[in-house]
Amino acid sequence: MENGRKLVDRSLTGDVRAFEKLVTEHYGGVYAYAVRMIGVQAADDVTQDVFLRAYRSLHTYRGDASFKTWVQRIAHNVCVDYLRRRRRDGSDPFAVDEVDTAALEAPGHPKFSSRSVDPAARVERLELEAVLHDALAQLSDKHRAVVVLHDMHGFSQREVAAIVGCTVGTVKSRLHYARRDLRQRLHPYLERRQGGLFGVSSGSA
Amino acid sequence: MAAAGSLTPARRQRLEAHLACCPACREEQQQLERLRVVLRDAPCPEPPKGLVDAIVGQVRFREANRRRAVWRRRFWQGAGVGVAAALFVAAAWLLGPRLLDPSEPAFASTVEAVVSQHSRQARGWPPPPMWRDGGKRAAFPPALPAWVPPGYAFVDGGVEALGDRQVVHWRFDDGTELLSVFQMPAKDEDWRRHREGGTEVAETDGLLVASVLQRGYLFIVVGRVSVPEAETVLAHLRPPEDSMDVR
Repeated sequence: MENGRKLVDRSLTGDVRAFEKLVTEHYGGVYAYAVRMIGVQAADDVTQDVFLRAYRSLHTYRGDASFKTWVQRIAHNVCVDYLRRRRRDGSDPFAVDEVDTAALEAPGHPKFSSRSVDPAARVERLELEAVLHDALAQLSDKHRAVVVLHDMHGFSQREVAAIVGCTVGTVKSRLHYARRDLRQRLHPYLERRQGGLFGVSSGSA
Repeated sequence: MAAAGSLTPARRQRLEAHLACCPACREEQQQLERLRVVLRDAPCPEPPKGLVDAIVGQVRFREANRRRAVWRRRFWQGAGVGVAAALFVAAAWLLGPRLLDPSEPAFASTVEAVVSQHSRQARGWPPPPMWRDGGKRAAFPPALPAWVPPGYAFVDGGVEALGDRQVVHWRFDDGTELLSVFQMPAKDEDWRRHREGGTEVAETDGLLVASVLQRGYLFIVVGRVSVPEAETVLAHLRPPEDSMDVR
């Protein structure tokens, strides 16, 4: 696979196919982050906005960070702008996006990928998805951003610091408080479950 | 405890020792570990189909617009350059001799000076001798007119100052009219105005002024003669003789 730098260079010459490769490679992560940060309702629009902004700003990409981190930073900023706008309008950004478990069970629903076909496991999965979604929504934006980026998307603490624009120490601190809040909110569930919660065993990783 | 993975071995050992004897902390640590797995394994929201096409479609649209804008800009820039070039050519065509030939004023003043010289000397008729004191030697070898229109006879000749130039001035008359032939070293502006050997003719105050550039000198004939006569005078200038004195 061509590296991000080369694809960016080609995109800068007006090669839209090169940019399409970048989009194809990274839109899933950006979309997932948008869903987790602002909810599924506006995630499409925000994802499109992220890549259009990225296209306009390609000339500023210096290549000292990976393209994934660079575009994720744009995604973070777009999400923060969106949340700020929604709050200024007087609406709760996440309230419009309550997890609809009935809809989740509908075939072909795009929101979450299905990992289990076992009916019991499916119900448990849906239940946990709803609980987790709700717990994440209760976190502050800053805490939600670091826990989503680090614990769910696998960015290192240093990368998270670059994405959200703070120090690694701040990332560690926010992670600590975010995990503490999540543990408290998911406590009954975490206590009940001894195995994997999404049909995956909970081996140490 | 959540950051247990980043602890130094010594601190990790102390943590593990504490967890072994503290059920509350052990429970918390286990829950955090489960939370980590929950978060890690949470199903990833799948983007809707067609999202890539929607993004790329917008990028293509913008790119096409950008290219159109670039071409439009280039077109107008090109058109601007074309118009500017056309205006320049038109101006050069209309004002060319003045704009492109800075010698024009200099040459005009030269003509004016020789005509004035000629007229001043022609006013008092018969013309007074120019060089009563025997004259002075020219700084350059003078050429002698070998032909003058019928009826004209040589009066005299000498060296004069014309502006910053030294000129050799030959005078002829036919009993009523004076015919002057001037010779002066050519300047750069004279070269720009004259083609080597080509005759320039003008008429001022009823006097014909014909000039030619030859062998590095500007020759000017001034008098009430016809153009062919003036051209014939200029065509029959005897090559300068180094040893000739003008007195």
